[in-house]
Amino acid sequence: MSKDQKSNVQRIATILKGFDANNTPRRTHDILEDLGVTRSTGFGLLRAMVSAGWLERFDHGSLRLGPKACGLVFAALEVPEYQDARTLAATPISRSKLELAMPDLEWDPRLVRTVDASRFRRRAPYRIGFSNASTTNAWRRAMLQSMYYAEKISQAQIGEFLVRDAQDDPELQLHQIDELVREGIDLLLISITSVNDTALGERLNYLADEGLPIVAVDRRPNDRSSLVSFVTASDHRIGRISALWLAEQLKGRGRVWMLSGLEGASPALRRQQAALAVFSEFPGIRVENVSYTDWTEGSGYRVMDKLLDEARRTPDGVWCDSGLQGVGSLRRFIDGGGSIPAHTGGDLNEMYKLCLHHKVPMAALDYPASMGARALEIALDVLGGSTLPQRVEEPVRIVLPRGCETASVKADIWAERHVAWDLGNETVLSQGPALRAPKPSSKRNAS
Amino acid sequence: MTHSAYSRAVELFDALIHAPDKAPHATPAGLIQAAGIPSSSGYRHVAALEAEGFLRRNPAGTYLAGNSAIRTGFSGFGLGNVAPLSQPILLRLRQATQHTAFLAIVRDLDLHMGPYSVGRETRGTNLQPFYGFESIPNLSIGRPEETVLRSQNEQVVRRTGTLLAPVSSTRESLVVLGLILQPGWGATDQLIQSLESASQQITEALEGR
Repeated sequence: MSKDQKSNVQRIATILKGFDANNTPRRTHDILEDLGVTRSTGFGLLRAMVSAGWLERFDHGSLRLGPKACGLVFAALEVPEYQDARTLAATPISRSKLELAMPDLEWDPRLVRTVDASRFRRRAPYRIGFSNASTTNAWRRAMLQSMYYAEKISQAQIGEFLVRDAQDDPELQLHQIDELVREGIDLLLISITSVNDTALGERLNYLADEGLPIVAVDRRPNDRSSLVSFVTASDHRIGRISALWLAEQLKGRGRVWMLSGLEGASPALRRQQAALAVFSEFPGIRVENVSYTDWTEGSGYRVMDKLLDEARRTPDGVWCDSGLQGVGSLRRFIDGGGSIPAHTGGDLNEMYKLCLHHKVPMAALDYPASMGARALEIALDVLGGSTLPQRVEEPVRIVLPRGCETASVKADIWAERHVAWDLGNETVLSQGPALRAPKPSSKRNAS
Repeated sequence: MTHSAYSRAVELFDALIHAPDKAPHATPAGLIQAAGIPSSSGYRHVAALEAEGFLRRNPAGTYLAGNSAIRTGFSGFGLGNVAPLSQPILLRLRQATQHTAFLAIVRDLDLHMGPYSVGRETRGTNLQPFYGFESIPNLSIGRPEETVLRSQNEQVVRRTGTLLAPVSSTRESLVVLGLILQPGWGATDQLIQSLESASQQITEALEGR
């Protein structure tokens, strides 16, 4: 869409976004030139905005943001689920318990480091390329869907969105990156196939040196110097909170089996390390084994089958870093009959369905697939020349069934509310509004 | 196009941008209805504002103020560099303390409430866009101070207990990070430590540039 097809409402947004962080006054002439409208339309809008207080006159011929624009700073960052008593009637925490329960703040200084992207500023519409590691599991497909949702929302700014699927092959990914560059992309989004692949890392460094802005999502190269920003979620938090919940659910005593995701994958490693650190703080918790499952249901089932066969007694708790394999473990217990131990791991709708249906105590922290949409938003911020964080973490919410809160781990949302009974088992609930949006046409899918 | 058409566009923008403040809306139709604008053009405007980042949707689809809106608000005070720090700091602080965490700007002894994340321990306290101070506070960078704020709604004056830690100052404004306190309770050592730790993060990030 060209600029002259914008509505006046959208032009107002564009005008407000045109002021810098210091609210430096802008000449009316410059504002109108950026807006690309006739003088009569431009002056009409500016007069109306000044009259309503969105802008104020600073000097002859200059304008800056006015008091009404300042009022936009008052904004809720989240919709608090627990404001609705019907949906989350959580017991208020007593003061003494709260003192005990308050976990340490884990500050990652990278979250508050910012980068000035003004050198990448250019005019829309943009051509953006996404080099995706793979679409092999439900989560990765959900992440891509959330990106398509963001593309649809921002179609006025995105002239072309080119997606390539590297099928977990670093060599193919390298080839596809070159292909995207040849097609003249303004920015490269990447979810890397292999964090240690030297050729990929070197190519990204070369492209960054040549002036191509690069934003990573979910998986980044070990050397992050080529990146403008990295969009992710806290694996450490997922591992730590889920382990803390399991240890407290077992009242500090019991046998735990750990089912991790893909061996060598950094999210699996970080979650596992964080969980092991928590379990080590509980002398009565015994971690009997750690297995890898490739984040698949089938592997989760087979691993649990083998472990049960060897141990001949069920564990007190099963720690899974995701529901992708957690559903396999649950299915094995269901097929075997008898009681099902407490489980951790979210992501898949089926995990919630099974735990709620069979009344299995569970704790879940979904790794947000909505980071796909966030990555595209960040890409647009980069090309818009904004100042933005070097690392962007999508919030990870704690999901618990009613009655499953522990002294330290409180629900951000009840599992009973989070589950989508009307949607399929493979649905990844953390993909955001893309979840119920119409699917994109096949011609825009990954090549 | 007449002058009133431009004013009407400004009114539409205002109505849509503030509709999420009043009640949660999970559909464009709900937002359009709450804003009181015609549905014929409403969908296009909602989509445009979402594309410009003035509106965003959370994982449940509910509309919230977008990052561009918050950034514009901070920029209006000449403090746009604070905007990218607000979400990570406030969400962590809220998760760690279960108290409502906020950023605010103090100018001419008025407190302009900024972005906030509601904690379950203080969910009963509805935040207002403006506050005054009950007494002149003794605020200095990095030092949390229990401070009572006053807000007036019609003829009713409400007192709100807070713990405030200034994180940055300019010639005209002071940026403060704060926690809402439970009515009748003072600040605990843990709340003070958490706020100190969080405010230090922001101060260091801002000074680092």
